[in-house]
Amino acid sequence: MTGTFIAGYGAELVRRTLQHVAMVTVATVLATIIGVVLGISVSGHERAARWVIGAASVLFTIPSLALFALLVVALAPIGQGTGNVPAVTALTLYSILPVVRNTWVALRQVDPSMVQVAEGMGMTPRQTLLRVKLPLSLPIIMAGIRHAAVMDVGMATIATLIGGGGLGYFVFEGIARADRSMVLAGTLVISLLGLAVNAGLLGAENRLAPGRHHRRGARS
Amino acid sequence: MSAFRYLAQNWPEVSAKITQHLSIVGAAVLVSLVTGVVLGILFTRPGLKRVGQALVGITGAAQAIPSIAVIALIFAYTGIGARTAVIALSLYGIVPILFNVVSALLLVPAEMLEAGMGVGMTPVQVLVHVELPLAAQSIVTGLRTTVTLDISTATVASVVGAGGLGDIIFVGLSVVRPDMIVAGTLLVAGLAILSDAGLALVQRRVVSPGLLHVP
Amino acid sequence: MIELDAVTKRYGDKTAVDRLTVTIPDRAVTILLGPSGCGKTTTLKMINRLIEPTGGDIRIDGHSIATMDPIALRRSIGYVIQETGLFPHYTVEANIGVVPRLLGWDSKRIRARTDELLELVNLKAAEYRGRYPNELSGGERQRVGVARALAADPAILLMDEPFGAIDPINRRSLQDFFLRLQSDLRRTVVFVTHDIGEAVKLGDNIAIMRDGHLVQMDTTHELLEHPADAFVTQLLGATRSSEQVLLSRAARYVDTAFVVMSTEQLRGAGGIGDAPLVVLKDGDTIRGYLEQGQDIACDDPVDAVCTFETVSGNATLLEVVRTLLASGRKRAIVVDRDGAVLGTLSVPMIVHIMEGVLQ
Repeated sequence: MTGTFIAGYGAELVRRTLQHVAMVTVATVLATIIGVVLGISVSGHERAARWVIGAASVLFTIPSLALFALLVVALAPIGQGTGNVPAVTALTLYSILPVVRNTWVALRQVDPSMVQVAEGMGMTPRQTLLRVKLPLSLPIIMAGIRHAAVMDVGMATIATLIGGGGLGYFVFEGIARADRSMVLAGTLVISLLGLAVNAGLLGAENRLAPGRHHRRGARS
Repeated sequence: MSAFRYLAQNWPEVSAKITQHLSIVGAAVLVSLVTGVVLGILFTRPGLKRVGQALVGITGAAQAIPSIAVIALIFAYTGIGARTAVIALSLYGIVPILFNVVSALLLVPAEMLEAGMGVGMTPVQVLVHVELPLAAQSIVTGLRTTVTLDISTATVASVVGAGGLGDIIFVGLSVVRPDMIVAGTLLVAGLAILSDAGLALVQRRVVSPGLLHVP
Repeated sequence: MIELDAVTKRYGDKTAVDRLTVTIPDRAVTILLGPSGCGKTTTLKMINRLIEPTGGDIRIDGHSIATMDPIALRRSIGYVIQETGLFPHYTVEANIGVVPRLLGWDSKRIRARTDELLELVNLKAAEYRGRYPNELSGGERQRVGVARALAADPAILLMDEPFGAIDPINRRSLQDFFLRLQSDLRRTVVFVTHDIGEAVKLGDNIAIMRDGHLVQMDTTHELLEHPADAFVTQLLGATRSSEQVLLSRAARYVDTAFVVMSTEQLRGAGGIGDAPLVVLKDGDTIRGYLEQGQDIACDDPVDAVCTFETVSGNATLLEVVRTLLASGRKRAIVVDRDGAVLGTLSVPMIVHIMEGVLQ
């Protein structure tokens, strides 16, 4: 039975996997850029930070289907009400919280004496940020990005419900048709994707941990 | 707005869906909480600690598997409907809670346990008066994660026949009725935000001020 | 008293404590001293059965602790460990009240006792009872720890390197505080430390352990004067040097050959007679002393009274020397907490003590 399934749906499976990966990648990259920039800009300001993180938390708490649906309504007027655009937008909005929160926390936790040393050496605030604070915050920021990416893999499954592509097709169609092997194929690939993304980014995170830095020698 | 008009006009059906949604989530959370806490305590007792440590790894990795996938899989085998939705959500909801309970209890410093035993507490008293208060914050965090997860997944589950608020959104999407979509979204979002905020308050009450960072 | 009778603790094929036999006297501070790994902490924890012995017996006032309920036993013994022992999620008041609550005291009694203990450890009850450990300094935390151990009024106190995590300056004041407390309360204290200076300062008796064995158990004075073997001599090594002897308490070494007289009595007697030394004390005020062999050339013996320094019995010999040298006075009169005269000390006397120890 699996044999015929692969034969019948093999190409489709690959196509949709690529769609899925594409959605997740775009959303994660966008969320990273927005999240890190936001995290940096509010890192000095307590009140602004609370607003931004609060807003992102609210977005984060909204159940995924609801957020997708909301964007369908919001983007309909400009003709982008279905398909991948609302899907990716929803994914991005959803993923901003983990990144922004981790960036802000990580920057706040940087050892103040490091900053003092940097300033004492004559670095401008911008140089201090780029050369000292961000590198030291990297592991925690990476953890946030990883969290966002893994979540996106799951959430992208729902994209199919609003006309987007992705592996969700196999899941929901399979349930509707009571076709177990279809559901199994979809969920298996999604799970593997989730685990792979987690493992891959975890590897990158460990490479960036401060301990490793020392072993490789001084970095500028 | 049109969404509110929709709600007003269809209140009986809407409130039935709200109740449906709450019952599914409520039941699942209850089962997950009790199971997660009991198992978490069990697998951190002396003698079973190794199991606990292994569990941390397993549940940690399991959280990288999208919940949708797991639940859809369970549906594929149990069939759709409200009852199977509760079963699937209960099972998956144990993961965040178990992870948090076990890691928090394993992190209680050995000196604390010794201090508790040293003043003459029985093992049960040590659990209740020392270990659980110190682990409380983490446990409530796990609970919050599970509740949010369950509300969200129940919304999607309703699309496949479990009933609940997702119906409103999905029907709205199929027949292109923005007022239904917005109405459904508002309800679900409101539910999620309110329960998370409520639990955040519980968390602040439950955690001793002595455990927050030095003022 | 606490009797340890051939107490043994084995972990697999490693012996942590080997047939330890020692009697810990009542109402005194006994120090378990030795290098790390010698078994002193293991021994301490066997007394309140946090660790169960593999062999031998421990008896408290004749009753074997093996026959007692371990929980009840622990609730009747005070236990102080390093500052991590306080429960961070309990207020100071809740921490101190832990054992009374376990024993079922009513809340009025617990509150009264808590306040009493806070005063005892010099922390203002109103200020401190609602605070959390993370708001206290290390020294304050340790004092709360001691208060907690004393809450149920135990006869025995077990202390496991309680001042180890404190910086040297605060450690000294905590040690002084402990000495004052013990002179008031007179409990049976078993105190584990690896710090020889602390052992000599705080201990009435010292039991030296090595590799699970008892090497020597004696009063502090005896130990310093007559070390049993080369190991003890080396352990005390720096301690037996003049600097460390000077850390002993004045009360231990005073010259007790003296008589107390009031001004009236002195005038009535017309002199000090045969007494080697007379301390002139009217009521609570010490006016001075007169020594045998002193030249009393005036009519009123009171006028010949020598000036002096007053020092507490808990002061170290080093402090006495410093005080005398700084003021140029010849003798220090040593008093206890209530002002009663314990004896006298002079610099030549202290030098003599040091020489005696070094032989």
